[in-house]
Amino acid sequence: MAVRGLELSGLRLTTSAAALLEKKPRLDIEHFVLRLSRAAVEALLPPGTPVKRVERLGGGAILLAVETRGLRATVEVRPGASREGRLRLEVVSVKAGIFPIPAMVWTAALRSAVPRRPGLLLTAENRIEVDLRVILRRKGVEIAPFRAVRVGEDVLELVIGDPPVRGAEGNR
Amino acid sequence: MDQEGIRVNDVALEISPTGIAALVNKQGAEVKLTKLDVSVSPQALNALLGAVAQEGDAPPSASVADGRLQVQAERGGKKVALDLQVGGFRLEITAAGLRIVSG
Repeated sequence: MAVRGLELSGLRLTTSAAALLEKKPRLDIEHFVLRLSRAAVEALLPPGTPVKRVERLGGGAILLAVETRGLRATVEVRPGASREGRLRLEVVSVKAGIFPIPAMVWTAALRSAVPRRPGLLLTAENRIEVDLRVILRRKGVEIAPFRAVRVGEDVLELVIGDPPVRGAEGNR
Repeated sequence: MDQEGIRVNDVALEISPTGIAALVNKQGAEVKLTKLDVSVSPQALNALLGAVAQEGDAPPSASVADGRLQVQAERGGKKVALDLQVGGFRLEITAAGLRIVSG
């Protein structure tokens, strides 16, 4: 189903009143499904990033227009959820116009471009992994692991945690 | 539920592309809420009531039983007690405005 902008559903979380009153909310996020359109993903790109546009979402991949040091390229990324519950971004190909850039060239560029920050990893297989649990814990937020990441036609879907077991809602 | 907590059981919302841009640029917010299910424990309710108490007054207190909410408060030495024995409320949003119906 098409999505216009951002759609969040199934959000389940807990917080304590004491934390709210202290204005230091400690949240424990158990589950949500976030669906983003191409335009929404583009709008959420952090400022200063070499990614200038999101060209396309579809077929399990994200096509990004990247510009760095005067060089323009189109990067195909396949997102997914790692076994450890991290958001995994796998660079599949990089092209300058219609010409593919050899993997050994963009691999070196990727290694120097990914900043060293807690919660951000570059694996030996050149996959960027984002561990939201590590990033958000520093802000007082506990979050369940990524369960699934899907890319459909003009939609990116992120699933955090597990949905409630049917029939268990009334028992809480 | 956490005895002292507030639990969001289910929330669904939508933000348009222009709303996302406004949020990212810290120029406002534009959110469409389409589903809401929130639980507040008695402890959390009392903690929140404590926040609205005026200086010098004892904070209001609330107790909850099945179908019954009792609130006691004191303002300027005058005691106020509210005993809601209504089971629940339904908030209707219509073209004529808001309507809160008990039961």
